[in-house]
This record gives sequence, C-alpha cells and structure tokens, in this order.
Amino acid sequence: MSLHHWVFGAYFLIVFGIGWYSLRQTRNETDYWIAGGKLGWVLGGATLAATHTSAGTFIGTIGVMYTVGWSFGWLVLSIPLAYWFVAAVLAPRFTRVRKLTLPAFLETRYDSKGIRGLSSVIILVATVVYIQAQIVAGGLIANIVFGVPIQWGMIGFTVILLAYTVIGGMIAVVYTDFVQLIIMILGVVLAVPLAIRQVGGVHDLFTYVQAVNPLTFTWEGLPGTLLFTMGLAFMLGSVATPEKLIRLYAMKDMATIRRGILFAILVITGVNLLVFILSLASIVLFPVLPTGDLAMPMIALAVLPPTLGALMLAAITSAMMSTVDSLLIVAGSALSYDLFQNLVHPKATQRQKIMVNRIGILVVGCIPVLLLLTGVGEGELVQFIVLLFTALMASAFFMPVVLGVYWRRGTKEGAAAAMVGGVAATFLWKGFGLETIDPVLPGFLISAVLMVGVSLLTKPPPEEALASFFPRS
Amino acid sequence: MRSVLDAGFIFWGLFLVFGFIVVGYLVWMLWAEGREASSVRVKAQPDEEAP
Repeated sequence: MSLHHWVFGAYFLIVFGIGWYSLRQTRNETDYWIAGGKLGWVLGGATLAATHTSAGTFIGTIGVMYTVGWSFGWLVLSIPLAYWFVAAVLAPRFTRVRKLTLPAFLETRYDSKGIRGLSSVIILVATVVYIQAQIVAGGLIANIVFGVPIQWGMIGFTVILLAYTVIGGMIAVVYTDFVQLIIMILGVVLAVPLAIRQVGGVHDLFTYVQAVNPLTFTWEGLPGTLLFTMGLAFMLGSVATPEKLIRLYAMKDMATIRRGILFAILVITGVNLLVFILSLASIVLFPVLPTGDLAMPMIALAVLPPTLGALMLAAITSAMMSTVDSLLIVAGSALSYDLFQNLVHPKATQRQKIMVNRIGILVVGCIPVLLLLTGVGEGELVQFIVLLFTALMASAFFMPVVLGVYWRRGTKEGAAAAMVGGVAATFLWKGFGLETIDPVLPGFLISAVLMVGVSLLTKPPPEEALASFFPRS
Repeated sequence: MRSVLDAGFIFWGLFLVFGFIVVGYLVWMLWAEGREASSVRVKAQPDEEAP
C-alpha cells in the first residue's frame, strides 16, 4: 500500500465515522434537511465555504488562469460582494420564515404548490446533471490515486458519498464539509511555499512567468465583456443557488449568518488566491501542458513531496465531495420533500418522511452514475453543463427570491414566467448567442423583465401569504 | 517585493481591493450588530421598568 492509499483510507474512514455519528443525531426532518437550524458561525461558514469551493476551484480555475492569465483572477472579487449582498440585503428577509428547502420558501411566498413543483423540477434536472460532471472528476482522481478504471472510480466515489449523505443528511454534510475544508486549506497553504521554492523564489517566479507568457499580467487574456458577464454570473450564482440559500436556514440567527459569511468570504477568496499563485508556479514548471486542467494534478504528483502530494489530491477530492454532498441534499429534498411528500403523500408520519428522504437522495445519487455508465453525459457535454449550471440557477431563481422578499406585488405567475423564461433564454444564448457574453446576462435580463411585467399584469398574491415577509410595523 | 510590484496593479491590486472589501464588510457587520443590540435594548425597556 502506498502513502496515497493510507491518506485516502484515513480520510474515507473519518467521513464514514461522521456519517454514523450523524445518523444518531438525526431525529426529524428539520435535522435531516437543515441540521436542526442551529448551526453556529464556524460550522455554518465552513459548510458554505466548502460547498462553494468545488473541483472547479482546484482544477478548472487553475486551468483557465494557466491559459488566459491573471485577469481571470479578478472574477474572484464577485464572490465576497455577492455574499455581502446576501448578508445585508437578502438574508434578513429570506429567513423571516424558516423553511426546509428553497421550493418550500417559494410556495409560501407565492402561495402556490405549482411554483414549488416547477422550481423542484428545475433544481432536480440541473443538479443531477451537475453532479454527473463532478463524479467524472472523481473517477479521474480515483484513476490517478488507485490506478482503477475511471468507471470504477465513479462508482466508488458515488457509493462513499451516498453512504454518509443518505444516513446522516445535512448534519453529516456539515461536519464532513468542515473536515474537507480543513484538508483543502492545509493542501494549498502548505503547497504554495513549496511550489515557489521549486521555481527558485518569489523574484524568479515573477521573472519566469513574464518570460514564459508575457500576457499573464495584462488585461488581454479575456475579452472585457466576457470578464464582466462572467463576474456577473459568479455573483448572481453565489446569491441564488439553492445549496447556498438553504444554509441560511441552517444557521441559527442573523448575527450568526453575518459572522458565518465573513468566515466564508475569507476562506473562499483566500483559497482561490492561493490557487492562483499555484497556477503561476505551474506556468513556469509546466509551460507546455496539453490542457491547463492538468496543472494541479501535475503539481501534486511531480512538485510536492509524496505526503503533501497525497494531501493535495485529498484536497481536490474534498472540494468535489463537499460540493456534491450538498447538491445531493438539494436534489434529494426536491424529489422526496418537495415533489413526493408535498404532491403525492402529504400525510406521511415523521418516520416515513425520513425514510422517503433517504430514498430520495439514494435515487438522485444513483441517476448520474447510471447515466454516465450508459454513455449519457460524457465528453464535452459535461464541461458544457458545469459552466451552464451557475447561469441557469441565477437566471431561474435570483429574481423570484430577491424580488419575492422585497416586492409585495410579485405574483406566482410572474415568478413562474421568470423561472421558465430565464432558463430558456440561458439555453438559447448558450446555443446561438455571442460567445463573448456569458449566457447569464440575457437569462437574468429576460427573467427580470418577465418577473416584473407578468406580475403587474396578474392578480396580486393574497395578504396572508405576504404577512410573514412584509410585516406591518 | 520589487518583482511583485513590477507585475503591476493587475496583480497586487487584486489583493488590495479584496482587503478593502473585507474591511468594509467588517465595519458594516459591527455597525449592523450595534444597531441590532440598540434596538433590542429599546424594545426591552418597558419590560425592565415593569414591576
């Protein structure tokens, strides 16, 4: 057994242990879906940061920066600005009525089971396919570490994720996110000085980077419009994705949310900035990689000492797992809590509900890997879906959620039109629009126009539905 | 240090702007907490005075 096997073996054992502990802590649906709604700022901020930091940060981001240079890094500033918006503008009103899922919030606000069903279907489809993309990355890591075929890696990765998420629900996800976040932070904090030393020091790093790729420190790597609209996509996506919004319900009060978000801002942006430095080192160390996506695995395997290399691969795995387990919770709740329990079997007992919830996560967790094994969603389609996911979520949910808590006049018809129109416009732009403008811009604009226009043309929602969100002082 | 500055604003400006955002958030957070605490005190006043 190599060092890599020992490191990953220990990591998986800790994750299983947390799953088993969480099973005993889960007594009702509130525990299962939002960890009882009692998280403090450390755990709340950590789960937010770990969920946000995906394989994209460790592989995709470093790959893009390797190719287009440092200008791409400025997009990271959209993340703290988006979370500040959440803390200051959205959260105080969004958490006035504590629900268990985003579709349940939309049902309460718009007084419509149809809105809940529609939003659940959008979440379910987008999330399941996004999980698929992450699982492919998991298969690749398993292939590198254990030498197993990618398909077996995908199956193994899915089994491990499902094992702790199904039994432990959100409590297991929160605690594993915390451990995974520590591994991610340790991985990059220890790797950066070693990679710089390998290059020859800070001075040599900058000198060599400019020599190898003179465009690295210029604004010419990405078109300005694309940079701006991608920043908009990151910003809107950071606000409106269900796996992040639901964490606001999991934290106990507004003071906790504000501190948790500060913690998340520092960790997410800090990890990203350190990864950017690693990307500079990779430009010098591996100037002719066939694809930038190989930069981080190459650093882990060829630059870092074996122990640290294993830790870095565990960090990449942690980033993927902490995102996928949160997506499993969101997709599982959409299927079992919002669709099945709400529309098919609303009178189930608490025990039956938790059982159905576990089956829901199991089902949505198996679909991606089954699709991949049958050849659906391979190749370029997967990358296409990853880039589209944030734009889709932002276009579908930003307006119904934000205007939902700030504009009394927003109606269920307006929200439905905003969701469907936003998703359709995003898809259409991705297929036929300009490549220099991210699809989030047309998707968001269409969603906004439809939300406002259709709401003004339809009957206002009943006062009872609005009372909780717009109290008369 | 000189080589870092030579890389230009595109490099070090990113860290600088991030620092400003964090400080701004921190100041806003303290202000929000202070405002909440004072509103709680105002609301609690009648109870404290009650016999």
